[in-house]
Amino acid sequence: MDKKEVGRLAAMIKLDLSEAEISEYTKQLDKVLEYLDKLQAVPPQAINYADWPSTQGQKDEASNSDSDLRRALTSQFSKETLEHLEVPAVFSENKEFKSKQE
Amino acid sequence: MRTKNLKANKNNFYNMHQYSNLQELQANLLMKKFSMEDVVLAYLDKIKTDQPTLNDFITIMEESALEQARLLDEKIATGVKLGELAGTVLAIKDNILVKDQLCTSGSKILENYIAPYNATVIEKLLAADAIIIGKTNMDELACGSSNQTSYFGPVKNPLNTDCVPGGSSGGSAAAVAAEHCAVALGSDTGGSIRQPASFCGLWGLKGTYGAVSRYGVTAMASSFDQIGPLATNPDDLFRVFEVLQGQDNNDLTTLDYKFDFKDADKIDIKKLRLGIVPEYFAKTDKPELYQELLEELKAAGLEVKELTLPEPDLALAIYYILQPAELSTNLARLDGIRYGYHSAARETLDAFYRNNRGAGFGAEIKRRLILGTYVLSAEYYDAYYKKAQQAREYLRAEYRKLFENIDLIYIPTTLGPAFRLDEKMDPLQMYLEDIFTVSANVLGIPALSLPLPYADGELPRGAQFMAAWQREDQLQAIGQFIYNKIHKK
Repeated sequence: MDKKEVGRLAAMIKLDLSEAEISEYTKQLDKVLEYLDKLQAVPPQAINYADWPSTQGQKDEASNSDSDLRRALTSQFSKETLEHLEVPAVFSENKEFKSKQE
Repeated sequence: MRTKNLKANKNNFYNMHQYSNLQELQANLLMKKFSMEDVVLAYLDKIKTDQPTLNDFITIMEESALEQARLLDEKIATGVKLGELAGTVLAIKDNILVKDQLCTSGSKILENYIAPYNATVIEKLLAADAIIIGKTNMDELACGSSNQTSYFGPVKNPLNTDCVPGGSSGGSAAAVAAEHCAVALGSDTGGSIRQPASFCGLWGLKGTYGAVSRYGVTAMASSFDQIGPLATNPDDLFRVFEVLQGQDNNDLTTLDYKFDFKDADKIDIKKLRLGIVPEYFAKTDKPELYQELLEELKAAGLEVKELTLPEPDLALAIYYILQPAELSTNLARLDGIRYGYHSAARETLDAFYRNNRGAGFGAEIKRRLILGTYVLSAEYYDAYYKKAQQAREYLRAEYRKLFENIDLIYIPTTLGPAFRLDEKMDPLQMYLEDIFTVSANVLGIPALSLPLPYADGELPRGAQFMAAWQREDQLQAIGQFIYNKIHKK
């Protein structure tokens, strides 16, 4: 695992990481992955591989949710501020959000 | 530094007043030697004194606990039939929903989340007249083995405040050990009940996967999670488990069988076949302690067989692939939109998500999210996730064969006693803490941790017994036998 990989994974799951965090996790997870190779201790003949579904061919990449589809969906809501849908029962009670709106 | 001798372990209100377990307390409650309000007030007093030092609670439910106590006193006064857990004061791990109470799971991202309903286990406890005194501190989202990853600060071990209480149910273990309640609920995904029970000198039980409903628990790794009790004696432990256990329409993974507290009496202890792995004892810091208990069991007539188990490293490797994979899936819902922490940065929706999650999760969660996403990604799915699932099946098949010739497996709970708060900061080192406990979760079998005798000035160590699927009755039988033979001496 390298820094680029950690950055790519963080982007996919929408997780902000600082450069320091990326460096730290890269080192730590590399060590963990080395340990996880103990999985190879399972005798191959013990497993019936044919019973397991094959990997889906989906490519893993970070995608921005600002798609046309999302815009089409959000446009159907009556209240929208910036890119957010307003959900009064929750957000109207949040002081921080309220002051931002004002 | 506080230390305790197991033989003189006078925990809890009823022990302080010379009652050895819940049943005796109930009898005296019915004779009106004291009121339930007295009991709750005594616990609250102790909690308030110790909380600044131990930090074992996130929410103290003073008002509702006293209200429940008064209602119970009224029931006693009017002669209404009491539930089976009347008189039991419980603390609940903060990843289990108690209606209208905070349920933070030890995380910043859920710091303001109020539970909209009761978990099934809470409904069952309340129906049995148990009293809930508070919500306990825990490792963030149940990820950790020391209770140091909590957003609300670490919990200290009541037996030695320089040490950790274990994790992730560290607050629950500390609460029972510090006489803040009679029993506590924890959740066990890789050892999170048994390891803190071992570190705090308690009894901890993880039932068969599907024995107890997970409805109303913050999902961590859904194919591993189980709720269970921690207590000072096997009697209370299994009485509470009996109430918790059972099928639930709200959790379709629950199993159709019923654990009965009385069934253990029918088991002839001499007929139990015990499997041991001497190399596991040798890996601990004090193998002789495990050997001494073994000698007692042999003397009692148990048949003992030496086993060759698949390396514990394998179960740990399986666990640390599947657990982060399930965690990363379950935590995708925590984005700060509907509840929880939300950041001020809202330039775009994506930035809002990224900031909420980046600032809302602690380091251990972030590490596991990255690892979980990695093992599920298309390039590595076959090498890690798929292989781990296959290895899990392989292990299950191996243990199924094993349980044809033995009834119980006796191994240590941990490699040693509670470690210091500033020790073991390396993640891999911390993961290795779970080496003896994860097998039961990977397999879905029940496991009990009980304290080995320890002297003043020492920290306790736990012995672990694992049984075949749905055989909690055998764990109770061996537990009660050891308690009567050793702990009551």
